[in-house]
Amino acid sequence: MNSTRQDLATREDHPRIEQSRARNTLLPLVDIFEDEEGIVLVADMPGVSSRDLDIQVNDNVLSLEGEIKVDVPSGTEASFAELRGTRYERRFTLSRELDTDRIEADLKNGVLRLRVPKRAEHRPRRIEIKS
Amino acid sequence: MWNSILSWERPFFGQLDQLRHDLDSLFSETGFSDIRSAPRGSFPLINIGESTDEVRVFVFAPGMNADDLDVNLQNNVLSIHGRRSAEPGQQPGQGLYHRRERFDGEFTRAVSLPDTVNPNAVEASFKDGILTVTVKKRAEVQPRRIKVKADK
Repeated sequence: MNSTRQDLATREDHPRIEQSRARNTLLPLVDIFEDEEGIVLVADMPGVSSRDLDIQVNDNVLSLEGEIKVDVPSGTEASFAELRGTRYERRFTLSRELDTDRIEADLKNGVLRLRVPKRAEHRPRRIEIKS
Repeated sequence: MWNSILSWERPFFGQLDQLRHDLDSLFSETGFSDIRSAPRGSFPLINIGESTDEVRVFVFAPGMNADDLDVNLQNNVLSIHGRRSAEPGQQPGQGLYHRRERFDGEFTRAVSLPDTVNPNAVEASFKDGILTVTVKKRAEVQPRRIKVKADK
């Protein structure tokens, strides 16, 4: 987990770069499911390969970033575009009962599946009632 | 340039397109759209790129396999049909969904390609959740180099 401090400093120095970055950034659509074991996040990120995907946890904030790459030969011009962006970015705050050291991530066919387990002491326990 | 397909920035109308893009992000629809275009949040989204010798259609269909997609080209109308199932493993009554933004179910989408395409020269491939359909243009509309005969 690298610090993003350097990254933030660069952004402040170059507001124009940051502006064009924001304009080309899309919000990936997600499903978030919770059960006794933890939380599962599923995100649609077509065009992102595992090489261009960056998942970080900093101060309880989970951030997902991915670069969209499409195979286009030179000399091709866009004539119709419903997807307008070159990258995905989305952040979520996590809560303390989640064990961020044991996050599992899997990217397949442009879908990211992330599992954040709950710490053992926070999992629900069945309490026996003595008769 | 793959970048131009995604960012919709053109050299001549750069600022105008940018304004349109900004308006697009404010309102879900502009008053002017392609007859077969789909509203924001539809599945799958489609981009089309064109060069002098081919047309490339990019279908953003994450979570699907090549086998799940039924692609048809009739004259110059390309249609894509398929079904995306919800994530398996989530049994009802065993937990809760906080968000369900992703599409699941059956879909059919169609786009019209230029009249200059050759419906018999089609190729399709699938990578990282993007289906790419490449259709060659007919030979007679492709640019040809004309030989200039030397005067003897």
